[in-house]
Amino acid sequence: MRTNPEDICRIVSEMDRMAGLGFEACPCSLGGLVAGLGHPAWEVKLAAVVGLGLRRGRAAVPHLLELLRWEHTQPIYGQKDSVGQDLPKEWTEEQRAAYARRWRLKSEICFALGNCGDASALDALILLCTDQKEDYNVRAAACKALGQLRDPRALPALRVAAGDWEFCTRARARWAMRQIEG
Amino acid sequence: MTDAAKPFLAGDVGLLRRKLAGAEGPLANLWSCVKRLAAADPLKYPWFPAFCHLATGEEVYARGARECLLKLCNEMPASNYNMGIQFHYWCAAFPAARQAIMYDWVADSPVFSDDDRRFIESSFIRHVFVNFYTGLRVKPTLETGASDNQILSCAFTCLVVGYLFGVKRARHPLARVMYEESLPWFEPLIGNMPASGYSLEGSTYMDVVVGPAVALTCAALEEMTGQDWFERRLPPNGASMRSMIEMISRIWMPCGLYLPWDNHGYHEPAKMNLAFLACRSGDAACVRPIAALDCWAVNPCVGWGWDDTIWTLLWWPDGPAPAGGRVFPTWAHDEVGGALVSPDGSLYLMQMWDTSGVNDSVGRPHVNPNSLVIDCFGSPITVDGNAMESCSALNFEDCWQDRQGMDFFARRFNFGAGTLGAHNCIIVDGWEGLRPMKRPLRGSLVAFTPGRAITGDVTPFYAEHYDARSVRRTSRLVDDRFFVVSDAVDFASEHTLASRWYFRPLVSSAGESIAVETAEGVRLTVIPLDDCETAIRPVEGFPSTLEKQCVQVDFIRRMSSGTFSLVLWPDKLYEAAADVTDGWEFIPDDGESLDAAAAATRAPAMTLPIDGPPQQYGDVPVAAFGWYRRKLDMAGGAAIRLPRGFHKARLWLDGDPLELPGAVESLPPVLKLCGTARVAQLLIKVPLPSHGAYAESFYGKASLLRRVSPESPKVVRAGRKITVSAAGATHEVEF
Repeated sequence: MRTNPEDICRIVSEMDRMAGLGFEACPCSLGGLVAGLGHPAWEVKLAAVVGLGLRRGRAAVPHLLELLRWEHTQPIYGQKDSVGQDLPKEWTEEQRAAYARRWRLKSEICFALGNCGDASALDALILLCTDQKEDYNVRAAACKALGQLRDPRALPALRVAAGDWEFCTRARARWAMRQIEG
Repeated sequence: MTDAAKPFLAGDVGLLRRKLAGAEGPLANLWSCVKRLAAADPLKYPWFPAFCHLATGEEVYARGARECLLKLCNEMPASNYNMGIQFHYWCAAFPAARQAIMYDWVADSPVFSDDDRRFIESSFIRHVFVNFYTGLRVKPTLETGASDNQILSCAFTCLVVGYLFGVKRARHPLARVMYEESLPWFEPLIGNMPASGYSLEGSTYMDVVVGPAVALTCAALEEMTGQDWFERRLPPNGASMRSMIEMISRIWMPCGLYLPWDNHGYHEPAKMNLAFLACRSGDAACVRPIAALDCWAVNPCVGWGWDDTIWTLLWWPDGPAPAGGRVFPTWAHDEVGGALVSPDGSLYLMQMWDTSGVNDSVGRPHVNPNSLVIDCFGSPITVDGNAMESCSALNFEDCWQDRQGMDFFARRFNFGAGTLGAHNCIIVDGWEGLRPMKRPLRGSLVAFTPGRAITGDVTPFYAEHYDARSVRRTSRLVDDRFFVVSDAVDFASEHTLASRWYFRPLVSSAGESIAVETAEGVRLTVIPLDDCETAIRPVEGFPSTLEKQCVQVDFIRRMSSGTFSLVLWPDKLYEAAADVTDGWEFIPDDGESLDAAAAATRAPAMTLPIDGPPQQYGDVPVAAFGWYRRKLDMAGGAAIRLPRGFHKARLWLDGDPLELPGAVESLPPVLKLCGTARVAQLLIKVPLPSHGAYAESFYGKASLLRRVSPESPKVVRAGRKITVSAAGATHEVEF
């Protein structure tokens, strides 16, 4: 984990750049944001995802799905995996970053996919909205995105999610069903 | 409209400085204490230095604040490895917002370099964006209107950090995203609260999270938008920030703790809620409970931080509270309940019928139809709240549930402590786990005579499961001396009804009546007015506060319709003989290097009152422990009442160790003194406030007490009239 003040300032400067691009509706902002998805710092990736969600537009969807596939390859850490602040010395920087960010990148990808409004994200979101291996924050975000996409093919999965043990997921799934069913 | 140079939420800084510089009495002592602690050890009291700089302009405090802020920011990245910030992120969000505000109070001081400012701003933006902005967006408020303390905390944090670094101090686009996205959350967050202002999360969350969050949000939104957010009633339910803060102000009980209403309870209330109400409404009377309870020197944890005292000082009214009038209001609200309070606050009864949970979701909104909370002469008599995990007595048979948690583990737990049988209510045919099965239910107000009587109808709770036609409870405060509680029930068929009570743990029975005696020296005699059986059993582990045990008492009758009444007669077992708050010799003991013999003779650092941290009165070192000693004139003094927070103290009378039996956290212990000398030295070793958490310390007055033997009341019932006689006085009650 970076603790050097200069590193923090540099990362936030990049995050700011992503947010600034996100505010811009011009086509030229897409390239910068997509490049941000590949930034080595996960915080910048996160800001780029949020930027793409702000910017909207279908062109971002393949890039967001690609990042989601990459994130699926990363380890998932739950509360039972707690090791406290003293992480094992042998952990790589990649493991540390995955441990620190957990659900955050995936949930923001879901929100961005919902904003972008392209049905090509449907299958990925349907899988996520009921996946009990994922953190509930991801399931809840996937439900919201499905509500935004308003595609009836999501209804069977949303009916399952509407019975989720967790409140945010349940509430968002029921809202999404109302969006689709009218 | 935005003035980058004006410290955020600070109001008129000149006025603030004049107010605190000219403060007198306890307010001045408190302000002195905060300044001394901030100067002596800023890292132990990180919430204090920025405010001290704001309110004095002195750079010494800005240097302390810089030290604290740089330490905080250096620790932020690694906080992502904490489970707290991963799975309970709202608990880390709300403090971060206040820390950012405090940074704004000191940021323009020359003690900060440009690099410092860049690092601190970047750290706050990163920390809030990755943790709390993402957390906020997961919450379903904008789609479903969901509203609770967690969402409010995250939304407030995004709003404040977004505003400070995206609008006010700088133009960070990322901060701007947080600001613009969080602004629309507040109307639904407040508007979806019940119109009464009671949040359904219970008095603890109301007082220590929702209250501070609403107060700060209101102040922040009004400063950012220039609009009135205090009085506005918001759709769909019509709640306003004022209605919420006013409801929270009613959560204070005269015993100095907040109500055990729904889950949790019985802790020191936040002073900042009252101070904000006084400041924003212009009614200085709102802060009267703080002075009446001498609770200046307590700094309870609010919103997962220790800055209650700071906001209290900031919002404290400029002028004195108007003379006269009640300290603790008598009130009623159709949606939630009401309180009967004697004019002097010595007798207090709260009757509740607020919205319950449903079936297996009774967690925080308990099933408590017409349950009562009684507090007499500053001592809680009944108990309520949550149970400890070890409490098996409230594991009702039909209340087991398997539930998965945020940690991906399934657990089996019993939610009996939230159901009817865990409350001071009417139990029918022995079903303790009763709760609404179809939808949340609430009762309603039938009649209210302020300070005299209150009637609540809770028929819906019983009609769902039984042939109940009417279930009502009327509580009366008679002649500001005692209570009569009458349940009027009408069922189509006969049932076994139990008037159930949970009392503090020392209960004795004499014939049909029972007597409860509390550790604070108060007795309540309970006399049933109707033929009934009495069943008494001790309950370990309930509530999770006070003694962590209690006694369950059932007054049982078979009946279909009629009334079922009890007289509740309180007595003081001690009266004050002398105030001994002043004149204590104080010896600091940071390393616990002194024993009692050494402390009894060591030259004192100073002589001061024992009503709170010694830094209220002088420049004494910040120490882990302190010794207080004083000669006491024992004539007429059978006992001593010590300040609150002395439950962890150790005492010696003329060198002999004394026990503190039954001392309860947050209540003033009463200690019997059994010395034979006319004048004796009392020596006390007590933990001193540390790390900004001086709720862990002590506050209030000390008094010598004289034991009294009040006569038990005689009760005669003749038809619809009862006559209660004691100590030469006769009281009549007509039903």
